[in-house]
Amino acid sequence: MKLSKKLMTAAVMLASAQLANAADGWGVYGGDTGNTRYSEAKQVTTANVNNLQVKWALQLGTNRSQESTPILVGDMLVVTSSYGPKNVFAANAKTGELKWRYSPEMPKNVDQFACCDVDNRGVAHANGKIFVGRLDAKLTALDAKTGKELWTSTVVDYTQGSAITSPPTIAKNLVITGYAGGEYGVVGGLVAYDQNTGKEVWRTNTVPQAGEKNGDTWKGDSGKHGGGAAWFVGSYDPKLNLVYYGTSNPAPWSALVRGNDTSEIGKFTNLYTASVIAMNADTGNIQWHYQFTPHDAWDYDGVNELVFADLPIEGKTTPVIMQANRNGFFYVIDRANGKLLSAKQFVDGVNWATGIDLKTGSPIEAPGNVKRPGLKRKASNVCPNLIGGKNWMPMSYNKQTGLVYIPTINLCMDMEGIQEDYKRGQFYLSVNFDLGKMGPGGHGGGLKAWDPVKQKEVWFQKNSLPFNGGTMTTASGLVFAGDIQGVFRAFDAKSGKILWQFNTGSGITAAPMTYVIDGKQYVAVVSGRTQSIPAFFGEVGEKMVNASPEGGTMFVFALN
Amino acid sequence: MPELLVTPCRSALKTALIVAGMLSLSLACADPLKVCSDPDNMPFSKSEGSDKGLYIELAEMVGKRLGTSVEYVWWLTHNQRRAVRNTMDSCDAYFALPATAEYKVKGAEKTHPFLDVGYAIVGPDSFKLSALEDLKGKRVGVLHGSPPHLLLSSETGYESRNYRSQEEIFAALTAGEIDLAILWGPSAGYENQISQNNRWKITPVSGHGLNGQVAVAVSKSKPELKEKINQALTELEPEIKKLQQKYGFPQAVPVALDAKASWLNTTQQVAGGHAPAGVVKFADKLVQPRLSHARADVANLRTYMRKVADSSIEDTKAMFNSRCSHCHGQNGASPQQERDLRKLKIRYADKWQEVAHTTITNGRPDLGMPIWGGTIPDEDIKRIIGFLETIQK
Repeated sequence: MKLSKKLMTAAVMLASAQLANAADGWGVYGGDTGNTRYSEAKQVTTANVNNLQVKWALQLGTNRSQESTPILVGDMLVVTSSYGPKNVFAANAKTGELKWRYSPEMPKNVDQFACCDVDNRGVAHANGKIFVGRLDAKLTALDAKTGKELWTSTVVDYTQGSAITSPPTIAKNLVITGYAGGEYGVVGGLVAYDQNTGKEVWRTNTVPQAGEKNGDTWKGDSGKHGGGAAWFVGSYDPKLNLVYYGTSNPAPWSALVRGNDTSEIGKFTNLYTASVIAMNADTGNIQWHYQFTPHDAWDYDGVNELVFADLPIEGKTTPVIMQANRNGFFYVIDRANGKLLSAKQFVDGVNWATGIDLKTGSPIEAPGNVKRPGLKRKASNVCPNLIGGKNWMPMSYNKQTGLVYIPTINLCMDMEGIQEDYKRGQFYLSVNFDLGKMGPGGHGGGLKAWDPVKQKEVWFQKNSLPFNGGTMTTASGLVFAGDIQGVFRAFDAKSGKILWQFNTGSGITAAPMTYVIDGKQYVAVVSGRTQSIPAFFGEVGEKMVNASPEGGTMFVFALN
Repeated sequence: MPELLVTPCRSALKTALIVAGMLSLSLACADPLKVCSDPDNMPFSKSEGSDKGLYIELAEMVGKRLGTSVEYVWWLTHNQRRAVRNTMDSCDAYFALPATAEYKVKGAEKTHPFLDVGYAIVGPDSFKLSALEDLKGKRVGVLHGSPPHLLLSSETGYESRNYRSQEEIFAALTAGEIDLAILWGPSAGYENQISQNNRWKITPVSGHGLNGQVAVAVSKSKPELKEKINQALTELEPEIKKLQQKYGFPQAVPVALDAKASWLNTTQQVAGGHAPAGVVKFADKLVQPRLSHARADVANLRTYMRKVADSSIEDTKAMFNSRCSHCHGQNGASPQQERDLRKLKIRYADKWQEVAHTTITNGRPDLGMPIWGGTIPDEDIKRIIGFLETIQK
C-alpha cells in the first residue's frame, strides 16, 4: 500500500467521524454534535408512516421521568433509565435482545440534591467507550462491548447540590461535562476528561471571580456562589474547534444581592449566567459569550440546546447557533464569533421584554420594572413563566424544510423578588408564586414549526397541557414527537398534519431518534411521564399527573 | 441525658398520672405519639447520638405529660414544605414549625408559640451592637442568599461576604477574614458552645425577616391533641428555658436591626429551626422520603451482635430463608439491587447493622418492607443481622 501513515490515520479519523455522524445513524444524543436531531433516513415517508408498527420494546426498570434519547453504537442501541441512571442498557438495535446492562450503585441521598427530578438523558460514545454522567456528579466510562466500568471520575461533590443528568460532549480525545446546581448556589463549570484515563484535562468556571475578566459584573462578592450551571447538553463544532454550552440562572434568586435589582442593570449583568459560552475545546478557554438574560430575575435558564444550522443571512450562508430560550425569544447567533444576528418572540404573550436590541444584544425590558420581579416588587402575569417558552425538551432542525420544530410551553406567572436559603435550620420564606397560569389562548403548549430565517411561525399543533416531548425530523419530511398524555406522533414537516400516532401509555418528554440498520429504518422513543415538574403548577400540575400513569419503556418502531 | 426514645408505656403512664393526672389511659397506651422531625438538624433535632436536640427532648417531655410513648417519623427537611406535606399524614405532631398564621400547614393546626428564634450577630467580645449602623465598615459574613445577606445588600455602606455554611463562616471569623457574622442564633449559639469554646459573643437581633416564633403543628385528625400539647407546653415553660440554655440558644433581648426602609415586605416567615429551607425557590423540589420510624435502642447493638453471630448461624439462615427469601432471595442474594442484602455494608458502611435493625423492626411500608417488630422477637432480629454479617460483600 502506498498510503502514507499520516494519510491513513486521516482516513481512519474521517471514517470514524463519519460513523459518529452517519447521516442515517444516530451516534450522539442530539443526532449530531450540532444537536439538529435531523436524519437523512428516508424509508419512512409521509406516504407510508401510517404503517409504522412496534418492533420491540425495552422496559427501563424505573418508573418516572424518563428523559433519555438512545444512541446507536454499531448494531446496539444504548439507552439509560431515570434514577442515577439506575440502568444503562445496550440492546440489539434490530431485536431488542439485551447485550449488557450497567447499574451503578447510587448513594441513597442523591435525590435531595437533584433539584428537578432524578432524571438521566442518555450517554455519549467515542472510541469504543460509553460515557455516562450520574446523579452523584460522577462521570463513568464503560467498555462499549461489555458494559464494564473502565473509570469513574468525580466531577464535583454532589452534596453541594450538583447532579449530572445529561450526556457529556465528545471533542477529539476529550469528554466534557457540566453539572447542575444553580438552585443551590454552586458555581457552574465545564470539566474535560481524557477519554482513555478519566484524568481531568481542563476545568472552566462559568462565573468569573473578583479580579478575573468580567468578575466585576457581580455586586460585592456575590459571584462566589453565582450559579450559572451548565446542566444540559453541549454542542461541538470540530471546524471551529469550539464547544458550546448554555448556562443556568444566577444564584441566589434575589437579584438584589447580585446587582441593582432593576432594569437599570449597569455593569452588574452577572456573567456568564443565562448565557451561551463558546470554549476552545483543547483548553476550555472562553472564546466568546453572549448573554440572553442579563441580571436575570425570572429564572430564565439559558441552558437550552444550541442547534447548528447554515442559514442565509443577508445573502450569505452563515454557520449559526439557534436557541429557543426560556425567556421566549428565538435567537440566531453567529457560531464563530457570538454576534447576535436575530432574535424574535417564538411564543405568544412574551411581555418581560418587548424585543432584543440587535446592536447591543440586550433585551428591551418592559418599562418601569413592571415585569421584573424584585424585592418588594411583585410582577404579575409575567410571560413566559419560569419553565420558559421552551424547557429542556429538545427541538430539531430540518435542512430540507429549513424549519425548526419546537416543543413550546404556554404558561405565565406571578412572581416576587424572593430570597431563598438552602440551609436547614434557618428561615423559611413562604413565597407563593403562582406558576400555573395558562398563557394567551388557554392551551398549555404545543409543537411549533418555526422559520429561523424569517423568524416566523409556520404551523402550530396545540396541546391542552404543557411539558410535551422533544422532537426529531427526517429528510423524508416527517417530524416525530410525543406528548404528556403519552401519545407519540408523526407530523408532516411542512403542514403539521398528524399522519400517525401510537399511545405509549405514559407521558413522553424525551426526544425520539431514528436509525437505519441493514437497510431498515427504525424510530425509537422513551416513554415515562415527568414526575417532579407538575408539582410546581398547582391545578395544571394535577392535570399533568392525571394525563397518564408513570412509566418507563423504550418503544422501537419500523415498517413491516 | 435524654431518655431512651421508646418510653415504656407503663412507666410513662405512671409519670403522667403523677404530674398531669388527666389522661385516658387505654387510649394513650394504645396510641404512641407519632412525632415528625428532622433526623439531622442540631441543635433542634437529631435521630442519633446522646444530644437529641431541643425539639426531641421537648417532644419526649410532652409525651410524658400526655402519658404516651413517642415514636418518630424522621424526614430530612432540605425542602420543608415537601417534608411537611409528606409527613403530616403519618404523624400526629410536627416539631416544630413557624408559628405565624401565614405559614399554613395542610391538615394541621398549630399550638401557641413556645420559642423565640432569630438571627444573631457573632463577633468578638469587644463588639457592641446598638443599631444596624454599627455594622458599617465591617466585613460581615452571611450565609449565601439568607435574609441578612439581602439586608446588607439592600443598603449602601455595608460589606457582606457570603458563604455557604456556618462552618465556613466560623473558620473565616477565626482566620480574621471577616470581622463579624450574622448567623441563625440557635445554630450559632450551639456551635459556639460545642466547638468554639464559647469564644464569640452572640447578640440576638430582631427585624423584618430576622426573627420569629415557632409552634408545634398538630394533625387535625386528632382534635383533642392540640389542647393537650398546648397545656403541656405551658407547663413545660421552665424546662424549655433550661433546654435553650443547654443547647446554647441566645436568650438576651434582641437588638432591633431594622433598616431605614422596611427592606422586605410580608412574604417571609420564620421557621424554627428545624427546617427549611431548602431551596425554597420551587416549593416542591426534592427530598424523597427517608422514613424510618426509628426506635433508637440500638446503642449496644453491635456488641450484642458479635455475641450472637457465632451461634447457630445455620438455624438463623433457615429462619431467614423461610421468612425473608421470597423478597430478598435465597440467602439474601436478590438480583434486585435495592433488595440485595449482600450490599448492606457497601451501602451503609459502619452503620449497616443499625440500619438493618431499624428497617426490620419498623419496616419501610412505603417500599414494601413489612414491619417485623412485634412479629419476630428482637432477639431473632439480632440473630438475623448476625447472619447478614456472614454474607456481606
